[in-house]
Amino acid sequence: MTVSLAVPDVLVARAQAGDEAALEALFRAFETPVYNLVRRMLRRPEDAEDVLQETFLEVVRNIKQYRGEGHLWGWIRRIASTKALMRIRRDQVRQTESLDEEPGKPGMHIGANLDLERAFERLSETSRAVVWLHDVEGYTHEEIAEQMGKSVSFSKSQLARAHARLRRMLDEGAHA
Amino acid sequence: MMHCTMEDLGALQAGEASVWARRHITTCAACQAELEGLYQRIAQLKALPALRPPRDRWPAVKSALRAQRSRRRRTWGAWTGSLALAATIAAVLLMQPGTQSTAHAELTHVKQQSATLEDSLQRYDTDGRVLSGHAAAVVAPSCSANRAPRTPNFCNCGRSALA
Repeated sequence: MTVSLAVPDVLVARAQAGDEAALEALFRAFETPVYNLVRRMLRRPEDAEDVLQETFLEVVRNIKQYRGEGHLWGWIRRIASTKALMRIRRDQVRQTESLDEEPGKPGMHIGANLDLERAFERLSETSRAVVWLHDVEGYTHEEIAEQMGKSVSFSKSQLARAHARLRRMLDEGAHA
Repeated sequence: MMHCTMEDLGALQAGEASVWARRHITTCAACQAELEGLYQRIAQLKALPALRPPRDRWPAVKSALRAQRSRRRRTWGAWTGSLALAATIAAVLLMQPGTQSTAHAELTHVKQQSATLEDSLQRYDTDGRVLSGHAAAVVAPSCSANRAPRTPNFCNCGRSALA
């Protein structure tokens, strides 16, 4: 999803002064892009909702630190993606590898109608995060590696593995 | 014949491919098709519709914001109150040097009370009222189950739980 949200400077200034109506206006402007970003990265909708809330709590607390350098969405997006990645790291124990490698699990049958969105949802959270941040949000491997606390080659190999899986799942779906 | 790996294709897409991969892609139809498939997948991902949050989270954010502000005000009030009290006691001590030991004991006692009060205020966590996504997810279905059939778009208990 491409986001080109323009927020008036006066609204940001009012939010920085603590105006609650302005803060709500910022929330309304960015709640969907933030939720979409973190929902694509995280498997569970409840986790995405929590990250949405945590993101805006941080935005509200630190809005005075936003100096107007770069788009506000870039600043908010960075907070949101960092929080989503922190949650992925925290929940790494429960994270499984690609669900398509778990035969017999209910609802995991790869049918003929498997589309890209459903195939994407079957990737591990780490893979989803790397694919979304790189391919859709336009982050570089260096930026992803920094945010994840991993190496650049980790980010590159995760992306390549994820695309190989997507390709395989879509292929199998088409031939099922 | 050796073909491009997915990493090679990614590097080609990013314009960072090796000399070999750049040469190979010009002559290999299979790898050209793979690269085209990669471009298409990325374009399709970018075109996916935006997912919208299922519940309004602003009431929870607002509630946390207000709690934070009131906590800050209370902490500031407690500090200024303690300082005023200490200043008053110090003034009394200076004016009555004969009763210094009694006043010192009282001062220590008052300081302890003030510290206990501040500690209690800081530990009071009004953020606890804010629902997590998991809790909200549990509340919402139970509310919809209790919902009257003629009011399908209104769930009062969900709203009040979030507020």
